[in-house]
Amino acid sequence: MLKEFGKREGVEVKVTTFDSVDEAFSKLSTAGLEFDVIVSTPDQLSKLVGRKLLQPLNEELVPNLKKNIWEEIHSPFYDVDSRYTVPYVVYTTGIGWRNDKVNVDPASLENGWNALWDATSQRGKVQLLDDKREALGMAMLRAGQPNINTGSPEIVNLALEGLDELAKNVRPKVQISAYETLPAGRITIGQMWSGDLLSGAINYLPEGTPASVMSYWYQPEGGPVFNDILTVAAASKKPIIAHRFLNYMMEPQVAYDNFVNYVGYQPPQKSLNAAKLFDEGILPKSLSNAVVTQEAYAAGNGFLTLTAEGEQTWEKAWSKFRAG
Amino acid sequence: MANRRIWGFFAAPGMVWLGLFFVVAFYAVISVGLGNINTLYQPIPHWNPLDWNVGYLIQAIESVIPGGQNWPVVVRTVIYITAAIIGALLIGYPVAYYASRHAGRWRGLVVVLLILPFWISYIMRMFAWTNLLAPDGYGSKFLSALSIDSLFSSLGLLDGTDWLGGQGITVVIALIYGYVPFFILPLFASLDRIDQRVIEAARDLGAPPPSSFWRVILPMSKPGILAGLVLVALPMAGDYYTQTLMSGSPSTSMIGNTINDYIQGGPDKSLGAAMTILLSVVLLFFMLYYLRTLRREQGEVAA
Repeated sequence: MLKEFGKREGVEVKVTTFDSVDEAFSKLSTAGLEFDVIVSTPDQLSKLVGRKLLQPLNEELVPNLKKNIWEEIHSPFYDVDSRYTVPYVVYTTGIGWRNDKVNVDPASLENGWNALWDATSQRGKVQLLDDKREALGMAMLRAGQPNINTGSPEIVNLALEGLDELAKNVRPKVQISAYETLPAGRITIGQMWSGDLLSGAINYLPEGTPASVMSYWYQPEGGPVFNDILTVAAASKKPIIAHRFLNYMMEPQVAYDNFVNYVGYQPPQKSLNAAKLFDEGILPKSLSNAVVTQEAYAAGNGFLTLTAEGEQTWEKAWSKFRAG
Repeated sequence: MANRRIWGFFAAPGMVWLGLFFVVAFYAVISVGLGNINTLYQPIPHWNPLDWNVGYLIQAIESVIPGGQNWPVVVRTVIYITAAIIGALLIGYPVAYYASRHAGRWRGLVVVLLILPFWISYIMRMFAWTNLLAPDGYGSKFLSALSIDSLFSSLGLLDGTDWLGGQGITVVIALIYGYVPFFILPLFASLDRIDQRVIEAARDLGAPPPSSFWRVILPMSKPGILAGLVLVALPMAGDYYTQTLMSGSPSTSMIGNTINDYIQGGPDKSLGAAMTILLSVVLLFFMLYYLRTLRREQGEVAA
């Protein structure tokens, strides 16, 4: 796909990947590397803009945004009027499990997140996302605290207590590799991103394991929903081509191929008919929850940049939890 | 004199290499650990020693003393490393002893077999174990067929039968597996150097084999044992990948994981760097002890 774009524009597309947003951020801001396009997440946006690493987008060069993308993200909460970003893929955070190995149904519980805390029979085979916002945020939702962007030490500590209880109950693995470990059966239940299940179903199922053994649940109202973003770097020497790349990624066919054939993370495309994908067997029916609907996106809750103090509070709680 | 200059010349590229990639890099760690952070949580290194700020170092020290946040991690790390080096000693010594004194014509082959693991990267070997020890992997099936998992369970070393489910014992076994060749090779070299005639003399003077082992061979191989222990204990102290792959659970995290979490995870990079300084100081202490013991042993042999 990148090659296809390169052929179309007569350029060579080079990709650099980073292990974490923190690594990416320090390399982008210090190494003097000249990137054209930066893929990131909304909670990093204010830092990227604050450091003058991004340039404002020229709306006329990315017509596919208005043409093909859900209206909800034309002027998203994190970037009003889409001054710096266009959306790349959308996903929810929820609970994924192997229905052939665990008998649970979070949807039947009053608070679905409890399914993870109750999975004592799966001790040691439970994943918790290695991400302080996701992990502590989930513990807040479980404790009935809907504001997952709070910096309040009381609420963060309440969440930490929740995680400690989780650690005692199920001894979770703190990782982000469920897209591989859930299909392989090394974990049987865990907190994960919706895209992990689809990506796992598309790319990582061992021979003989049908995709129907995987199930997914997310909190329909106020649960974490997120999207990755595409931006143009301030240092770009080819800003026009960079814009065209953003526009290219929002073309229906390109976005569809990227979703179904490669990453398993879904683009917020108007033309994408999820129901049809399940009917045609392109995606397994058991994972219909893993597709983000426009309504779910609108009803969800995003992680936003914390204040400096808030960030410290979350970090302190998280490192305390990680110390075991 | 001329000779010395020539060798100095040959050593220079290596010294420059070490200087650039160790001394400079370590100075950068110190400058970050004794530096500050800006409002975007990015560390600001203080390159000038006069500007050094010991705040993070004090925070790091407070976190690793009893009652501190990372105290459980320190205790756990010490237990894991102690268990792992005892395991390496019990497994490695007989191998090194056999290879150096009794392997006969198989000696060359045994040495090659000892070096063989280095052909595959450490991380790849650990990845192989994650598949073998997975609940339906060949390794765990084999261990379960021999009832080894239930034996370990009944001894309280394994909780349940899932080897990868956040078990301290798996981390220790993986550490032993990963580092034991580093232990065997220096020990092999040291045992190999013991003069056969010394052992013959012990026998001639009436020492039965166990006694000649305890009173002659073992003391004479002490520098080799120490070198081996230092070679494995130091990297284990900073290891974090073994734990990540074999367990991934906070209940088994080691000091290397803590540092990795700080460095990877946001606003606490300076604290992570300060922890690195602290760990290096502790390891330096052990290294000095090793060098001092070595010198004393050599002095005794010379006398």
